[in-house]
Amino acid sequence: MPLSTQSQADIDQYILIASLDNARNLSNILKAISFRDHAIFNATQNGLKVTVEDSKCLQANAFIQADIFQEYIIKEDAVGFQVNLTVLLDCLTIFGGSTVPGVCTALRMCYNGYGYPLTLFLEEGGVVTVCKINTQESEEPIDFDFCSTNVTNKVILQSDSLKEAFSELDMTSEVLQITMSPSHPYFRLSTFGNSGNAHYDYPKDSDMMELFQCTKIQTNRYKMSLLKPSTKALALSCKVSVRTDSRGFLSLQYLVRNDDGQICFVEYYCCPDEEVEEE
Amino acid sequence: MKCVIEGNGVKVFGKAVHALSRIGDEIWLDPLEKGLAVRTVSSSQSACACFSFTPLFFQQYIPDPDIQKGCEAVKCKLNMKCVLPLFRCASWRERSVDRCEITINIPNSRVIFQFHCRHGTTKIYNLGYQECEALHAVFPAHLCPNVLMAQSKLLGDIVVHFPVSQEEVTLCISSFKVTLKSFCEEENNCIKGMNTELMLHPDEFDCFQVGEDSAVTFCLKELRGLLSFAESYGLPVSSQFGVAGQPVSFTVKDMTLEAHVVLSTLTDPNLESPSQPAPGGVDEQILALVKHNSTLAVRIKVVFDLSLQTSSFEVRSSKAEEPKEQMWAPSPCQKQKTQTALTPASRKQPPVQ
Repeated sequence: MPLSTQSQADIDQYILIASLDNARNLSNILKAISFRDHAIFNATQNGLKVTVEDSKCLQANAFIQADIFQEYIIKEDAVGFQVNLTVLLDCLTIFGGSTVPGVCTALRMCYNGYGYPLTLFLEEGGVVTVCKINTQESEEPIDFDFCSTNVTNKVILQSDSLKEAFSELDMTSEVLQITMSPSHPYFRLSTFGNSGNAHYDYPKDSDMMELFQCTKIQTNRYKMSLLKPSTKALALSCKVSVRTDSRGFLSLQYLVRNDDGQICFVEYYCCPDEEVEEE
Repeated sequence: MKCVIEGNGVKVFGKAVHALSRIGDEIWLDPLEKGLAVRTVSSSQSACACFSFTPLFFQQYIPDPDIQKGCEAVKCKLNMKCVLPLFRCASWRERSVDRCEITINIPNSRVIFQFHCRHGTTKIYNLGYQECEALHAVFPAHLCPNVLMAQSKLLGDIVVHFPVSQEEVTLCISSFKVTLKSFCEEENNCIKGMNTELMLHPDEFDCFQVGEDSAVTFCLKELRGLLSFAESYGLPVSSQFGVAGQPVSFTVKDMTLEAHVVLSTLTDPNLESPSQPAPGGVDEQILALVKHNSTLAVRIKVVFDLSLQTSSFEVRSSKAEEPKEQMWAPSPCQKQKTQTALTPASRKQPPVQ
């Protein structure tokens, strides 16, 4: 493989090297969080975490564990940088969307450290492309302080059922209201649009409901514009967990299987839009 | 009103809504004792369509608890854009909906559509409606000299030859054949575009009745919805029409439903005086509409001039004797004016010329 013709000296200077035989295993999952231009990369021994934020109300994280990569070398405890995600995705898909089976783009992603660009070596069919993307000062991602102990309500659903609902959501509604309750309606998504209201109810004994843990009735509204990007992650996923905490903050966690059947996670955190009187 | 439609019926109802959406931007739900009528009228009022679902169609049908007491059931007008997405014919929807309940909630002015789907999920839509009198075309089909009935597949095979952008077509009938051809308003366009003409033998029709040779021009676009509905269910389509200028009606019938589309037709351009622009453009013709209002009954009488020179109509209030308004003055070069009124009260036989 041409990528392996790099000299040992080159390899030594990198503090992070991550290689994939199929770049789509990274690009697909990054597309699920690509609603803003900039992404914060945080690499640790466990793997890669990519964060995208919007107006301090929404945060999306993609987790790609170390064992997804064919090669994963990290020389420091934590390596962080910020890059333009749109540019990165354009580079990862530089050979176009090849749908020919067996043909995929191989990737080696390398980083020298603070001040250096992120270097991508991409190869497909014997052609090698080298991309160097400037990195920026890494901002600290917001800590939504969402911990398991504060979670009041949690459901895990098979994604198919939510995909239907999200594809039909009335976009004239400014908010998406999520009601979770130990009694009827159990789990309800509501919109309030120009033509009227719409409610999607999922009972706790539904086939699609894998887990239902609701301690008390909670109704929260979230801006539709903030949640809309999460449908990309929903489309890729097979399961989704929906959790709300005592403050009404929403956590959506998506279980995504990549091309090779390996599991990655995407999560979205969202602030509630306004206080709604609990029924 | 409350009604419950089970599984397959939801698909049929959805297809009916789709067919109606090809014609108008608003949809009326008219709960009658004999069934639920779902209607629409095109914005130019040149086409009227109605799907009547008998109580057999529903798992449960309650028009109005007060209807026996003589109170009229509420008639709802909804925006088609709000109703159509609910019945989007995605394949998953067809598989997954077990039951649909439609309820008219009068105190809140809401029509509630509840879809009970597989896996226990429920979708509830509360749509606001306007209370509005139902508009419908009064069209004495039994007076039409020409009647055709054909299998929907035949009609489907015929219309597929016309491009989707083709607005109007002319249906010509004589004792020997039936012709369907594309219609273009200006001579110039005919040269530039593609024109299609199909000829059919009377044997191809299940019913072929020619009372009067004629050529009627109507809007095909508005009819396509009904044709695709009929084709989905393999139902025959019957058509009743007369001479140019008289409306043409298309009907599809089943045990549980009846669908009518009434389209206005162009007056014969060959007999128009060149100095006067045609008053009977498809957009300008008005079908007889009977509108009931609790305070004033207004009857709009449509008069079609059989010498094919003009159309004029009078608006007559039931209280006044004199016509209130007269639209379109008669053409100066008309020779003989004969009148045919298409209203239920005065049913005269059209004089034979």
